[in-house]
Amino acid sequence: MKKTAYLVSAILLLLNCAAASSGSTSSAGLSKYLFAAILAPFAASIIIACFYRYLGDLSAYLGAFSGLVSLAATFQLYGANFSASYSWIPSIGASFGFYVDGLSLLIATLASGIGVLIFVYSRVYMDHGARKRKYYTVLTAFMGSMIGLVFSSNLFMLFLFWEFTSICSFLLISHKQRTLEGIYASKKSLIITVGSGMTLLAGFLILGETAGTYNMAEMLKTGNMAQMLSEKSLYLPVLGLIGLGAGAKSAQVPLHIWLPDAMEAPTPVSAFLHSATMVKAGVFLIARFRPILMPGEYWSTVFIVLGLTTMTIAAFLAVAASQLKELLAYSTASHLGLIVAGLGFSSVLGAETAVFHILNHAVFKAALFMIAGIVLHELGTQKISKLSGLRRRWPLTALAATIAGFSMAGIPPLNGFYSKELLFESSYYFATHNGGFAWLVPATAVLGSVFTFIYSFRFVSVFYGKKTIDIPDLSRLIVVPPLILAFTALIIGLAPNRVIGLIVNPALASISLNAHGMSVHLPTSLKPAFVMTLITVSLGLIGFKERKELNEYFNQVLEVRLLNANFYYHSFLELSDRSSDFAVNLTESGLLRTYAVWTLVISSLMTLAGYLISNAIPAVSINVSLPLVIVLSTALASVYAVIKADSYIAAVLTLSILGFMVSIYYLLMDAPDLVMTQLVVETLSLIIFLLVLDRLPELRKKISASRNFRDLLIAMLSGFAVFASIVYAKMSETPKEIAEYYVENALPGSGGTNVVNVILVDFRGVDTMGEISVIAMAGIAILMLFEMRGEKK
Amino acid sequence: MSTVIARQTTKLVVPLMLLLSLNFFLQGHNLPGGGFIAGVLSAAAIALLYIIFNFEGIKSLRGQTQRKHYGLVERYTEISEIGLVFAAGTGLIAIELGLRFLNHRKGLLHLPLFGEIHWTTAMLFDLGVYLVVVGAALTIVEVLGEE
Repeated sequence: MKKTAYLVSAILLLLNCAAASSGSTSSAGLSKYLFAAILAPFAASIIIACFYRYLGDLSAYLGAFSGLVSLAATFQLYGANFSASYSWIPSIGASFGFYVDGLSLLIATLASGIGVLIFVYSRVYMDHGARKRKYYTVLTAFMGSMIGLVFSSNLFMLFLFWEFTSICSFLLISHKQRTLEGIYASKKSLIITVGSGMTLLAGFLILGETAGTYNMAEMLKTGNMAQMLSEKSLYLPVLGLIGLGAGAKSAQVPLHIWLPDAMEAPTPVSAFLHSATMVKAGVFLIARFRPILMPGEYWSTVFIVLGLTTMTIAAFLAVAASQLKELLAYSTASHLGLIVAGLGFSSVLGAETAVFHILNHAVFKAALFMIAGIVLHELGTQKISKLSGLRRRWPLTALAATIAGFSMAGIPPLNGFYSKELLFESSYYFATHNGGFAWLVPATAVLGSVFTFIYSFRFVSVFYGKKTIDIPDLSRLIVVPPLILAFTALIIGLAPNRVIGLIVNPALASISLNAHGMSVHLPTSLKPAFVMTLITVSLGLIGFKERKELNEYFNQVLEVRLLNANFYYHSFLELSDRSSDFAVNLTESGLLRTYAVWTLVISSLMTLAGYLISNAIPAVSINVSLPLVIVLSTALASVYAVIKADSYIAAVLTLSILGFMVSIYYLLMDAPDLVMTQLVVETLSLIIFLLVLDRLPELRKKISASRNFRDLLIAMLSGFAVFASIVYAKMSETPKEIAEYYVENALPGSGGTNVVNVILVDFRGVDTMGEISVIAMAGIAILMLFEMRGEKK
Repeated sequence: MSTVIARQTTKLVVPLMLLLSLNFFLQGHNLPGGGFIAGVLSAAAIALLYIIFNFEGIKSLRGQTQRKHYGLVERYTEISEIGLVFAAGTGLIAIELGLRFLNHRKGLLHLPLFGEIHWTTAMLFDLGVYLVVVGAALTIVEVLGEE
């Protein structure tokens, strides 16, 4: 049976490959670097999956190596801006389309660069872990799909990579298989990210159909898609669908709830997927569509509100958190909110905020996660109230934590300071331009930043104070990756404009309509943004001093059930559980007739509804000859006999009269092929009927009148649906030209005079291929039914 | 189980049916027929054998089966698998030849006794169809017959 399954899937794969006719439309010599960047991690993934037995822990270094290859290839692409496309399924507009620009290069650099460090870190962290083969295989595959995602230009391809990252995340979150928390967390992330992926696909479809292309590079060239969509009043739906998909992936409130639970994953995974890269995919998408969708009036409203709400609420939750990783998870959602808000501002400043913070956040947050991982790994606990004074035994880790933590808090001259300053500037700019309620925007930004300041200091504080627990020595290797990242944060902070020129400016150019090279400076005078920073720092210091009281107070607020987003998630799950139970009880009684009733009624109703909507009632004209009348009335008589038959044998035999009448009907219609087919098939099915006949249950004579009436209605309904289908098929007899084409070309084109057969094997050969696959599958399915029934006994 | 007359008739009719099905298959391109009809007819012929000589009899023709129930069935599913691969294979060969998937070539062939024979690669595809139909139909007959 397994062999058959392999065979069938191999055939499907072959068909798919056959459909993909290769042919590059445009590609520069640079494409080889592009392919190297995407394929290196996938190659590593396959090698690890196949040869883990020989590689063992070397898999970590193989993963790191593939990351290095991708990173090097990405560096080769810097400065390039091109698109390449290879056709895949041309009929629906799907192609292997690639687009390289500043934005994709920025995130590809992060994915591969941080990936290298993560693999080195994993080597130590996962040393005694289980299922390392699965771990490294999925992690490398994730890196490849993340890089593939950012370089995708075709929306279908992008969607595939998008879902693939979600699946990798699912597999890694549930890495500790069979723990209830792991199952709960991975299920939650899957439901939220993949479920919202569906809305993303819907958004893509509307967008692609409106633009007439699924190629993003072409859409970006078109420019103002917002206007095109508004004219068809599709702008808001598209914005909502894509915003929902991207927002769920980037853990925006209220869909942020999956991220804290996802901390169930091994810490390197949290650092890599759930802070530095995968959750950036949503932000990436919003940034990607910013140039073409922002001119619409709702863009700013939607994303500023979404971003700042998330930033503030998630920061609030981070202050209330009790575990290190939980704190970092909420903080990640909060910083993603900051980036989304930046993308919402229509000014160039907003774009600068977002792009620069994508880089900065990835650097300091990955470092902080790795540090939290060290604490959890070495001490077995990550409860903040239990930890203090870790600095005494782990000075280097404490140094890295301090740099990264201060950067997160936004303290100059570290990198986090600059992007936060840019957020303040853009929110202030927004408020002065819009006035009124718009002043809430800078106020919220400051509030969120105060919370950020407080939780950043809470994180760092576990390294200071009195030593309360025994602290073991650390392996040197595990400290290196967070140190590298912390110093990167410091270097970006000390020489921001060098990094901006190299990495940030190209990305800025691809998301902002009127960008010019940006630069940031330490404030020299009392500008509004700097005042906001001063307010943040002073309020933050006060809050940090009162952190115990704040923590307790915030936790009291969270006790209120209706304020807790998880309450809604659980109600939703319960509701869908109950409604699916209901539906299953209704439709799946285990009795064949129940299935038949539901299938017939629903398919007939849908067919008829389709005809009603299409709103064309055809005129029916029937002209019958005498022989036809005789044949059809014999058929009708046999139907009556079937109903009245008092045994199965009689019913089957009279039913076959109907079949033979149909073949005579074909004969009258001059269709010899059909006659022969019908005759042989009729014979064969009679034989099959006779084989199973004595196995059927007793023919029931007594059927209640109400059930009889119900069955009559259903039979009439499905009969009518079939009749209507035939009438409609007859009505749309446009394909005269097609029929003529077949008749004319059968002999010259294929050398056959039997047009029917030529159509089957040549003109519409692919259809026949599909049909015989179905026949083969039907045979296997019947075999399976019987075999499984045997197993049950 | 069955009468002498039925058995003798079957012995006569089954080869004829198989010949007829071969005829259908070969003439398919120009006259009524083709892989599908030929397949169903062949399957019907073998199903007839099953009914007249009962299932045990057919099995004893092949000697011992390795697994008690599905020895024959596996052969039948294999036939349909081979057919599928064959049909898809003809399409893929077309790609190798620089044509598109499932495009066919035709031509004339001179054979000493038969004269000019008209050939087309579509026939190979049709052979795939034939095998799939025979395999699937006989799988069903065999499985149901086991009951």
